[in-house]
Amino acid sequence: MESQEASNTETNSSSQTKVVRRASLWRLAQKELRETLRDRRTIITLVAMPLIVYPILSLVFKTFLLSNIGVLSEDNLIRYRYAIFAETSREQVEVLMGQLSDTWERVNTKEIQSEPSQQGETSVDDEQSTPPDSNSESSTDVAKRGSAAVAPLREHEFQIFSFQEVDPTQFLEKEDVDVLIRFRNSRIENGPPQISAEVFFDQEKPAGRNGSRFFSERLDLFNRLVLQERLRRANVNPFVPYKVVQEPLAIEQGTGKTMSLASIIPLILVLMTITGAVYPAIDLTAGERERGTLETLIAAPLPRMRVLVAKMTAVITVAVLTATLNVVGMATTIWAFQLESTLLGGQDLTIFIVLKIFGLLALFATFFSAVLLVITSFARSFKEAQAYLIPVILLSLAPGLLAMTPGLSLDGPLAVCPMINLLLLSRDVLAGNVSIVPAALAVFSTLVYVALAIAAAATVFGADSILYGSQSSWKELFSRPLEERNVAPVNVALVCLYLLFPINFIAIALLGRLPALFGDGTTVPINLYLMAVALFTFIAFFAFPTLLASHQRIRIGSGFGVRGASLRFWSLAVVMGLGLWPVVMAMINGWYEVLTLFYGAETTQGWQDTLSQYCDQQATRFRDASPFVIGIAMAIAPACCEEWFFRGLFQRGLLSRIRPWVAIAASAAAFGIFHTLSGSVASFDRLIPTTVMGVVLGLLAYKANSILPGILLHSLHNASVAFIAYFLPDLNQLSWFPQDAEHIPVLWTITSAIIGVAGLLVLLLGTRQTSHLTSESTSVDNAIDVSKSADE
Amino acid sequence: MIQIHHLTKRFSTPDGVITAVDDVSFEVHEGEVYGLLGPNGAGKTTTMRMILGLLRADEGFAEIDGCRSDQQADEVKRRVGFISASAGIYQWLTAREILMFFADVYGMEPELTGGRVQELSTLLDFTKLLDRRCATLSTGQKQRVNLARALVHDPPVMIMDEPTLGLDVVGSQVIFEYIDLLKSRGKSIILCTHQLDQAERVCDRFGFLFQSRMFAEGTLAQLQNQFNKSSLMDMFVELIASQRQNETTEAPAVVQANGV
Repeated sequence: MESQEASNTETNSSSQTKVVRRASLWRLAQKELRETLRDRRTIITLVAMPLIVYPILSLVFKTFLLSNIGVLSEDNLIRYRYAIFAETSREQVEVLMGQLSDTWERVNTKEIQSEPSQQGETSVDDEQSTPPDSNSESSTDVAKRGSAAVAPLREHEFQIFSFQEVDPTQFLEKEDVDVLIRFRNSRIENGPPQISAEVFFDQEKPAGRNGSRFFSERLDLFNRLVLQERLRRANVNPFVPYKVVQEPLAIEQGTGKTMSLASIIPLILVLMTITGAVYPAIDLTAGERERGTLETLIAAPLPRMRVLVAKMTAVITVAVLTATLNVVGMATTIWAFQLESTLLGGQDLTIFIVLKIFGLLALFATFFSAVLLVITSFARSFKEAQAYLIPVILLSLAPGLLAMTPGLSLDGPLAVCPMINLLLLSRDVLAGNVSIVPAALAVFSTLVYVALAIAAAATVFGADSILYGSQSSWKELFSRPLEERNVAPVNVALVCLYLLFPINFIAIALLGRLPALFGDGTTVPINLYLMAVALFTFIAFFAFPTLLASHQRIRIGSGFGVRGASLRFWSLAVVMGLGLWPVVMAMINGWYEVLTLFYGAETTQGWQDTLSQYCDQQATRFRDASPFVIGIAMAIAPACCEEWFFRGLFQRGLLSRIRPWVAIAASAAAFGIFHTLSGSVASFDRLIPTTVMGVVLGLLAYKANSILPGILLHSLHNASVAFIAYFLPDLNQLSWFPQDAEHIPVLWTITSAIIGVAGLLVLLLGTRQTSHLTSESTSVDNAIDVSKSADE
Repeated sequence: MIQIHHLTKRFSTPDGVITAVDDVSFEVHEGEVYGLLGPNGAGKTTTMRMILGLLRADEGFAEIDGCRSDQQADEVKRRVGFISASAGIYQWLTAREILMFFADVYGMEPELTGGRVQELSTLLDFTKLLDRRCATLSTGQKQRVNLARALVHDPPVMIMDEPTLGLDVVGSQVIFEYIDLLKSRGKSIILCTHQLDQAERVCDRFGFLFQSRMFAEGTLAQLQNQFNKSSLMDMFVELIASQRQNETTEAPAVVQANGV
């Protein structure tokens, strides 16, 4: 009877489970949406912002435009403001301006060009009558180019004064005019009277420059036509040896070759979606925790992934709504203020463009919602989440600006590079030249990132440490603990890694400045330079972590893993240290092979040649150094110091809290990334080999429970590479040594790979060294093992 | 119905590892109200969170209706109604929306949900408030909605962590009366409260947590014999006094976890 009841309960519960799974996601999302859409603060970002921001921005934009282009009147035509000082009467000046304007308009209209015989002035020589700068601001040309058009000269603003010697600089500074023209009567020696037109303008102001050119071109044309007419009357052929024909073309913006205002739109989309997503993302994660509702939600039988997907749905909805209202606000403003030509490069604001923008918005919103949810899931309070997000928002502008760089196109690795691929895709979509494959790749990879981000958020969201962890203050992070500790806590290890980034950058910058200390620049004695490199390595990776460890009362022996290791680890270190360099070299070459797939052989070969040239130069330079200094600076110092931090403080700190393979992978990744920052620019070809070496060294340090064998391996490896380059001319004399050192014989590479794989297998299959431990290290192993078993 | 086996929980702090719950074991039978008592920081809340699987135990495990909370967390959660003093409420939703949402989350048949919400709101006297947003409710009203939220799926087990905190006498009375009713319906309840007089009345057995360990356990009569005191209040006072004495004379044997 009891068992029957039990089975009934089972059936009920399983049927209930099914109901939960069918109904929940929508209900969950509905609840999240209700919660966020009813919140006043959401409404402020959602509705209030677009209503006010765009009209204000457009006003600011208009004002900016006016200061640059002159006066933009109701008919959307630019008019420059001229102040004219003339010895002639006001009427004569007006007549002259009318003549200049009419001549130009006549010469530049098709009717005149097609029926030249009807025009008295231009009938002299039709070909010659074409003005020298036919691309100048004639209204038709300008309209074709998509920027605001300029009215005929006679319609511009003229303030005409009787002649006086004013200071042009002071006048232009004080008065509201773009150009000052002074007509001065003069007389050529033995010739007829002449009027010189002195044109003054502020060369820093576009309106001044354009207005001056606008007037001068017309005056110039007028002069030439008069001259032609005189020559014609004197029966002289007014032939000139050269003729300039300029053809202004309307080139589509957004092809990636030039930067236009239209390419800023993707960046605006980013800001709009982030603005919409930030508040709900914080509110539905950190906000839940702060209000105490998170515990209630986690106490319910709900898969975290489901909760997160529901939350993401709500965040995406709000982000898309916000962005849509922004687009509507922006479109209305652009339309109302007639800014299409200026902002959209002459394209009309069609429904199709708005739809395109809407599609892109959805993609941006999905991406940012996922990313923001991961970050805010870590936060325990609203304030903490905001603190995390501000740098993220600022950082997201960097790829945004990068994507605006002319010449970047959506292909190769950029098609899968998060955020940049979306921005490039938006730019191409708006420009109307999308290639299907890279676009599909960009969308697909973005969706993969979204899935990964949500999976990551689901593991963090509602975790013990977030749900119940105390909110540590900065003081706690930097306060000195009362008791000694065996290993660095994870936060100390991470803070140390974080601070090493700027320290490393400063060290690199200081090395770059070293030549300046020697006056003429480039001749730093090489021994001194290398010792400086060693010194900076020592300061960054040894002295700084040691000081931090001492402040945090972390025991040196256990915290850094300085302890004896058994013979097998030392033997492995020697074999791998001497035998891995060919496979590492092969990995660098392999990286270029991968790049070839994306960028073609020619481009990649160019990069590789540049690199090998640089390496040759360095090697030639280093050959002047003493081998002792090379050994210290290139092998021993980096090996000791980098192992001290990466496999010592950092990896052992992580090992105390997370699973060994994750800790090893994290320290290897950090090691790899630091090595790409070795010069003034990032050298990504080193990323993969160094990360792989980081894994080998990390595994060795973990299994040996000591960094000492790793120091030996690292030293031998670095020494092999450095000394092969150093003694290359001598080695090339040997018959068995490959003459072209860049192409290592396949047999060498295979042997090296076998050594690597065998070494890794020995490490993986071998037991971890826990014998002959000191009492101090026993406790650290216990600490590590306790947390590990807790995690597992 | 509820079996707790050697639960232990440690936390890492900047000053080292502290043990918040140390080898705590007890049982609660069907239809029984178990009072988990102890001073602040004794480990009551941590114990309850481990029972529900919200916190992972470093050692030991909890079993509810044959399901281990470390292995079948969702099955355990489905069988438990959880209410705690720190639990917040969704301010922008109405009481009805909250109850309907949690009924759905706990897998209730949609056609049964409306009746259940009506029944609970009548019992806990907030029918008129059902369609008001929770931001506008008083502390007592919110706590009643929270209790209804924990009970909406009619779980066989209730875990109540100071359910009357911040409530006035009348508000507390409503909650305790409802605990009586639940008991009569055969629910197993773990109740953590500082209202010792009420606890004496509704609880069948008690466990005294002190300095992270189970210090004493039994019925009221058994505890009266053990402490040689008539009321829980007197026992509690003596316990606190001995704690203070310990602190002044020697370092405590077990470091207390405050606020975790």
